[in-house]
Amino acid sequence: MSSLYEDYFVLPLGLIGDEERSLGETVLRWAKEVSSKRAEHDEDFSDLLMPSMKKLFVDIGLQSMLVPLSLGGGGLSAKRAPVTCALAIEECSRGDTGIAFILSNIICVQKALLCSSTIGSYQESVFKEFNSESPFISPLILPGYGTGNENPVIFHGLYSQVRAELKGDEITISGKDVRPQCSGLDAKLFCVFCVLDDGNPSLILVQGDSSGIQRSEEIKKTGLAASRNCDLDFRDVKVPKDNIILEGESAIKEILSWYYLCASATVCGAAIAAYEILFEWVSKRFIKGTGNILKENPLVASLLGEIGAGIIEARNLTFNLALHIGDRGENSGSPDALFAFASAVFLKVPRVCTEVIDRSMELMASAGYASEWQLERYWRDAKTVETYVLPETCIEVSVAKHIFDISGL
Amino acid sequence: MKRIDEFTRPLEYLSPLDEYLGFITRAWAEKEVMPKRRSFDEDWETHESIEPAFKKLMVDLGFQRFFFPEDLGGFGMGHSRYVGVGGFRVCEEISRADSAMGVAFAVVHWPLLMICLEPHVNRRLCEEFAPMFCEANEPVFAANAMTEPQGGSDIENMEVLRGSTIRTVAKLDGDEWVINGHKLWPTNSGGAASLFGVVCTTKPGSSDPRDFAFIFVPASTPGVTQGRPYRKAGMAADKNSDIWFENVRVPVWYRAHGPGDDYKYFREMVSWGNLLSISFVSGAMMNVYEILLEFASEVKFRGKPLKENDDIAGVLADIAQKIEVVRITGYQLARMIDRPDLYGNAWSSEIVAKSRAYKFFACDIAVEVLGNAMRIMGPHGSDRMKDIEKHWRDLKIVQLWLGGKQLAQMETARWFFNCETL
Repeated sequence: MSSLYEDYFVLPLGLIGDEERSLGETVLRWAKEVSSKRAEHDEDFSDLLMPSMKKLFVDIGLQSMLVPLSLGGGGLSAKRAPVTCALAIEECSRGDTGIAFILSNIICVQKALLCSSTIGSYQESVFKEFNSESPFISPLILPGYGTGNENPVIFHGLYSQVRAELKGDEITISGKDVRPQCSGLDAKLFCVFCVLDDGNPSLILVQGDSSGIQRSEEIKKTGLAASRNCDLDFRDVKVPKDNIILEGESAIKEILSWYYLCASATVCGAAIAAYEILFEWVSKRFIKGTGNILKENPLVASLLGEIGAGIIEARNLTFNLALHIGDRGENSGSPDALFAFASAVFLKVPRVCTEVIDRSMELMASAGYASEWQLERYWRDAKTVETYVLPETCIEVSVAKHIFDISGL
Repeated sequence: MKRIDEFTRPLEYLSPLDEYLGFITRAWAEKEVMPKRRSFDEDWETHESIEPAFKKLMVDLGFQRFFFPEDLGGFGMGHSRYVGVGGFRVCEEISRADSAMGVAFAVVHWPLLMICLEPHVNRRLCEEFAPMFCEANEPVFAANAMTEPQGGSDIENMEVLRGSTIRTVAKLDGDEWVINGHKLWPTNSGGAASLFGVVCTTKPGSSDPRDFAFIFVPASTPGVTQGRPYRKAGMAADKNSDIWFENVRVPVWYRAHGPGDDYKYFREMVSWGNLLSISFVSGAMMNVYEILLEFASEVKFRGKPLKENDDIAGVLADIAQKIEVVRITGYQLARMIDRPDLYGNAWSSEIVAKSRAYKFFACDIAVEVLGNAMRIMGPHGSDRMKDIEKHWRDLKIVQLWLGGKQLAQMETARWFFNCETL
């Protein structure tokens, strides 16, 4: 494993200063350590994934990257934070894509807190939780398809997964079979996208140990073993009004933009991990019994070209999105244009990265499919990220609405 | 309500047994496999939960007797002019429930094709091995030991390499073959198989087809060692492992046919491998259609059922179109194999190349369909309770085996474009 591969894939190096580079190298060392333990522990949660998460989130400190300096966190500036976070998530994903996805959720919740109009005592208390001595996992709960008891539509025809009623200073939240983005079993805090009685889309924080939250058994899923997810029932869960940290469509769009960035960086990391595995494979295998190294065959090389082009495209889109989010309000056009760009990036990057890993598996054939070579894990993980965020058609609509001035939908 | 039977098949050319084979296989799949398949992933190593379903299919329903002549206790399908379409139907129905079971089942019969199929029946070997399959009270598996550590898909690259890279060597010693070699990945290895068809060379480095040998080796023969099953992305019901052959001795007449003919009929096995690969992906896609139909009818989007949204309907239409085309493609290949009088022998370069083309087309389409189906379902697409992701994981290896897409492309280009140096 090497570091940024800037000699291979063009990156916006002007944005990557000494601090980012140092952080990237630290996370990469962590990733190497995780990888070295795979043979023994595979995807074991207790023996490998949770201890690795603790080391990354707590000891290295990634779970408090956006927490203000005054509250004991990393205090990344608004301008540099997107690039730094994307870089850290990408490197993390090379070690474990599931942990990178969990980190993506944590970062987005911190971003939502930072976007609050005022950082009051409630926000401060939540920020401080991210300085704790154990992973403070905080998944988003995004809107989804309706499944019976229809809740309000919140985003491009998707429904809020919960109902939220504001009475006085208290919100009552109810919902059945609510699916968080990650780690339902281990979450300490949920960040719920919902609609209040006035029809205003809002983000509400709900402590994981709130009375009335019931967790199902762990859901078995394709990948992302570090994310032990489950469905949740919210049975009249009561939280103070202060837990509303953001309101309004533009705020929702800003957090979604960040989530698209972080999830894109996650799948980019998986694609780079696949590239490293494939590089070794095609450099050592022979074909046609003639002593020809696999990568020197023209047909194989053309496929390798497709794979390389995919990684270049995905990384550049991701880091350019980071650049534009960091420049927000200065050089990156209107907020709507930025959201359309973020949506477009997320339409492309997971598709490209899953295809990169898929093609890599085709070249490695059965070795790519066998767990021993690790590629199949990234293949499953990247696909899970691709399916988990929002249905593709909603993201397409986000782009279309802006580019073609569509008022409905 | 629409069902999977809406997808078109060539009604003018189905096996006379089609309705019967389809009915009993579907009933078995729906009762013995579909309610239990979600637990199979954890059982990839021991098959404790998978074995009972195999027993029902192979022993109680008798499907492990499929190819053997009727007078030896078999179904006699090796003599049927409908063996292609009949086999396709059975494997498709099994794969609708679990394509790994479809693969494991098909590979029981794959090496037996060499000796049970007209016009090259080896009666003596049929008599030798029929009791193993036709009189057993337990499922009996067979395997084709082809791939080797150094060569990957070289073994299947018959047109160019003609067996020259095979390192598993068979030497004649009196009236016995002595076999030494190391094989990887055969379906039904990892302790499952009782009988191997082993691809060997009688003269290492030779590209003379007469030096290519296909020799049957019972797994209990001294010197045969099967490794532990590999852990894989999917295909839990299909065990794969290393196999070592160390001074393994079998009678000289365990060679399928002899110099030149082993090579010829092994090429027919490639055509069959391609045909049945299409049946696996077609069957799994039938189930994908069923799952999507239910999901898209139940969940709501923009205030109406998911499938009633124009944008979603567009994707669903693409999926249905692709399933329809893959299924009819598979049946077309089955007919070509069943009717050598019209299309040429299944071991001819033409049928091998066309079967490669059909297979890589079908597999590419299947991978695309599964990916799109998962995308439409969002987080439920990667939820094991919905079964789509299982098919997605399982089918990927079907695309990769038999030399994968690249070898298939080369064989197709060679035949259609007279390429001479590939």
